[in-house]
Amino acid sequence: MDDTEEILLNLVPELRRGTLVLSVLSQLSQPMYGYSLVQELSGKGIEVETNTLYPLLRRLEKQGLVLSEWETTSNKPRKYYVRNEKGTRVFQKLKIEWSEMVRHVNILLAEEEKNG
Amino acid sequence: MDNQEYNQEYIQDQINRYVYQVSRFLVVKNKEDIEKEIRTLIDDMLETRCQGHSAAKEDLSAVLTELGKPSSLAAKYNDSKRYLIGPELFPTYLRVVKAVVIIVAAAVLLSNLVSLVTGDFLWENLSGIVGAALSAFAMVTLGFAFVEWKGLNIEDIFEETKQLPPVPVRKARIPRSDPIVGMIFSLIFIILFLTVPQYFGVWDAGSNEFVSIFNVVVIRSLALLFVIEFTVSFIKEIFRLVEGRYTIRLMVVTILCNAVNLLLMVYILRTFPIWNQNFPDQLMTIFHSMDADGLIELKLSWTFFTQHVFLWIIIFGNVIETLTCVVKTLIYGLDPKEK
Repeated sequence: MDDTEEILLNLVPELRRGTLVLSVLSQLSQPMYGYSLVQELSGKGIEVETNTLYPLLRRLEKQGLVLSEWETTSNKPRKYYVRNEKGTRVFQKLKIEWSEMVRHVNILLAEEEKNG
Repeated sequence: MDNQEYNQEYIQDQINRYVYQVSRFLVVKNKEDIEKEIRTLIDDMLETRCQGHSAAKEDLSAVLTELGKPSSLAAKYNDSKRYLIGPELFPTYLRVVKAVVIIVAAAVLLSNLVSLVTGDFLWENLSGIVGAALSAFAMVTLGFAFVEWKGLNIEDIFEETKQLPPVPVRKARIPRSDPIVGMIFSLIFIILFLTVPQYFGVWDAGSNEFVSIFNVVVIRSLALLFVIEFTVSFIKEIFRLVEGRYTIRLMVVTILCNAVNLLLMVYILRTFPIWNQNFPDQLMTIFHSMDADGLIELKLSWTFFTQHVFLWIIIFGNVIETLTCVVKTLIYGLDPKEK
């Protein structure tokens, strides 16, 4: 019995999960509401589940990384989120961490390819 | 009402129901804020899905499926995972709750056995054991739930983090099944022994009665002593269960309990005629085939057994058990540092 597919089905989202905050923060230099962010990310090849993103935005707000404001002029009230100064600082740091991680993991993978 | 209008009403109603359910599972301050956001989100998702034409029931159901069950969506909004007793606390809880329930059940059982002596024992009393065990379970659970809720650190109480206990070598461990099986069998024995001692013996098919090897009247009158005997060994077994390995503490408890039991047993056996003196004669009336010489021989053996052999067996068993415990403790049970 081959359960490779099933295992991957769990591992891939786990791999993505860690990069989610980085992806979201990268888009929030401009105010955006949740669903537009989902579509924006999806258009750029990053699939995020709606029911994950919405609570995540609230957590970021609670941590003081983004600000939020209700936009009620249209007939649908929407909550817009935007990165604040602290959020930008955290984003920059995360970006460096990410580059380092990619570099190191790539070294590991390159080594493996050479030896294997 | 035309179809279109009905459809819209249905969808609006379903959205209301969904949002209401989510909000029931939310444990955050700004519930209304989240409700409002989810409403707009469902609307947006429907719009994207339908691309201009009006939403059908199937569209709504697809959108709600994507969002997930109300309880799991709410769980994602809730700050932290909430537990009655969390995974960190659970192993300790399990250990404590098992021990407490067993001990309480045993205690109630014993007190019921004591009531045998006073004569007002009722089989219905046994249901009290279940009740007592349940309330013990509830008390421990509530206590731990409180600790979980307050986020107290009970590590210091239950785990000696500064001075970790040594890992017991395999032979120093006492498997849990050991004391548990012991307790269950001695429980069953004491209940039967004190309630129906007349059935310990030989069944006479002729008179349809049992010929007991015990003097039933004497056994009944000594119930208190037997309950004490039983209680002492039960305490020892509980100690073995909780300790889980041979230690100096356990050795001391075992020596004390066995000594008390031995003295009490010797006292009972030397003082009271607990055996049925007429057992050989009664046996004779059942099995008519026996001749006079056989009866005399049987009477002699019976006297010898009840006066001496049984006592020796008791002493022998008790001493062997004590010695085994002492030897195992001294060889395997000591902390290398203590050694």
